[in-house]
Order: sequence, then C-alpha cells, then structure tokens
Amino acid sequence: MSLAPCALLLDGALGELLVARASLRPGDDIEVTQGLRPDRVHGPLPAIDALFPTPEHRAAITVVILGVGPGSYTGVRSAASAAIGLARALNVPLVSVASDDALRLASGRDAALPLGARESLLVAADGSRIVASHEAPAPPTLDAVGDRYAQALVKLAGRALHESKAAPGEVHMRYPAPPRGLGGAPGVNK
Amino acid sequence: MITRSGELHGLVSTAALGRVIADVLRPGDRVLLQGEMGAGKTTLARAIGNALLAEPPLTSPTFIIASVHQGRLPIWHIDAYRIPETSDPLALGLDQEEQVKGVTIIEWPERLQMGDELGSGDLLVRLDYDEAETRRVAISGGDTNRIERIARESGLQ
Repeated sequence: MSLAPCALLLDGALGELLVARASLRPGDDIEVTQGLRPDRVHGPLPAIDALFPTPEHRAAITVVILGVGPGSYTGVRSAASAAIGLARALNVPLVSVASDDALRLASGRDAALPLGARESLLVAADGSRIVASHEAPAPPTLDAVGDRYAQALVKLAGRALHESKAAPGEVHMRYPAPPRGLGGAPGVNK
Repeated sequence: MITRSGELHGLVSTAALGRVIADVLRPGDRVLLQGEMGAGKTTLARAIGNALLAEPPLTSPTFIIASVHQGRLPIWHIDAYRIPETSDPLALGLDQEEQVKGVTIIEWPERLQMGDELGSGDLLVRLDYDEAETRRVAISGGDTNRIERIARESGLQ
C-alpha cells in the first residue's frame, strides 16, 4: 500500500510541542492532523509514533518541516533535535520556518511567543519585537491555534522551497529578535 | 531601589540570612549573588536552598553552569563565572519560561546581560570579604517591604 505523501511538522516555539502530519496530495487543501501533546520526559517520539505507526506511514514522509523559533528555548530545541534526526534517518529534506512568521500567519492579530521568564516576543503585523511579558498577550495554546499554525508552517515551507532558500548544513535557530539579534534564515537543509 | 547592609559572622549567621531570604521568596523571583571568589556566594546559595528544602542540596555549579533542584519551590541555581561576559541568559537557556514557577539564584550575575533595573522580584546580595570569618553584606531590591523585612529579621541596617 502506498500512502499519499505527507510532511512531518515539529515546532516547540509556543512552549507546547506541536507534532503534526500534513497531507501533501497535489491540489488538495492542506489537511493537518495533530499528534499527542508530548511531555518533557518522553519528548516528541511517542506522538510521532502515533501519527506514523507503520513503515508505510513513515515512508510517506517526504519532508520534515521545523519551526526554528524564536520562542521557548527548550521547546524549540526539543523539536529541532527530533527533526534533524528524523530527516537524516528518512533521507528527506528538512525545511526551516520562522516560528514568528508562522504565528503571524496563523493568528491574524497580535500574539506572543514566550522568551524566558520575563520577556515575550510580540508578533505583530509590522514585525516582531521583545517586550516585557506583562505587556504581551499570553502565548496562544495549541488547542486554540494548532491547526492554523500547522497549516501556516506548511505554507511557509512551500514558499521557502519555491524561493529556493536551500542552504545545506545545520539548522539555525532564530534568536530572538532585534535588538539582541535575529540569526538564521529559514531554508532547506538536506 | 533600597539597600540595607551589615555583617555576617561565620556560617551560622550566613545560614540565618539564608533562611530569612528564603522566607520572602515567591515564584518567579531571582536572587543575584555578587562577590569575589571566597566571599560566600555559594555558601549563601546553599543556605537559601536548605531553607527551601532543596533536593538535591545546592553545590557550586561552576562547572555545570546550571542545576535544577526540587523543594518548597523549584530552584534554578546558575553560576555565570565561566560564561563569557555580557552573555545573554536567554541565548544560553539560563532564562526559561518555566522559571516563573520557582526561584532562580544566580552567582556572578554581572557577567550576564540582566538589565540595569532591579525588578520587584529581584534581590541583589553583595558579599565582601572582611576577615576570616566575617563578611560584609549589602542587600538591594526594588521591593522596599521585602528588603526592610530581611534587614529587620537578620539585623542589617
């Protein structure tokens, strides 16, 4: 049995770890299935196992899409660790997407990503900037924005591929925003 | 910002100050410990940890940079001595959102970009060597009531 091609999505910028599968059948709308909510002890692998339970399911993964932050330090790195390992093991491209761009596309209004204990990244239509946490809305939950966020990751990954932002090599985390720097351009790593 | 200062005579009074500080700490607070090598930063950190029933007990994290302890409040114990100056704690994972649930104790905070203003949840403790068993201590913070309470209960002026 050959399953339709799909993408594995991983992003921990919100503090919760998004693990999702997106169908990539040409011409179809992007259908997203979110996995279990990973916990800090077991990480994303149980959720990935549940979404891709058989070798056929895993063989259908044609791309891994990773949200590279800014956002939760541990969340972003947990997602990246799994994404890098799985992309290598499956021999598929790894596409990096800016998490604040995905959130901007998904939320349609000002939203925030967690940055440590005292600050947040305010993601507004005109850009992202660091503010004190009490000046920012609470980061959205995956229950509230997860599906739209996952669809935004897929759309932005497609745009990155279309614009040939291919840059073989390691994943660069985006950290965190001006004035303290904003490193790492989204791109494709294989 | 308010500052109160005094002297600590030996480990007993350091432990007593640790208990007083621990009593006023709330989730999300930071204790910033300044002082030269041997001034007693880790000793005071351990005393605060003991008062918070830290498990495992706090030790010097100079080589591991950060350790996490369970207790009456979760405790993040950070030693920035080996970190390049002006490092951003956010970039190093030394400032994470989960730290709002507990207390963060930072030795050598001047090596990190911490911002110039002490927030209401920050206690800055400066320890200076005086003589073998005596240390001068100065405690500052943005919360006047807390600093006054620490001073009152530990004999600082």
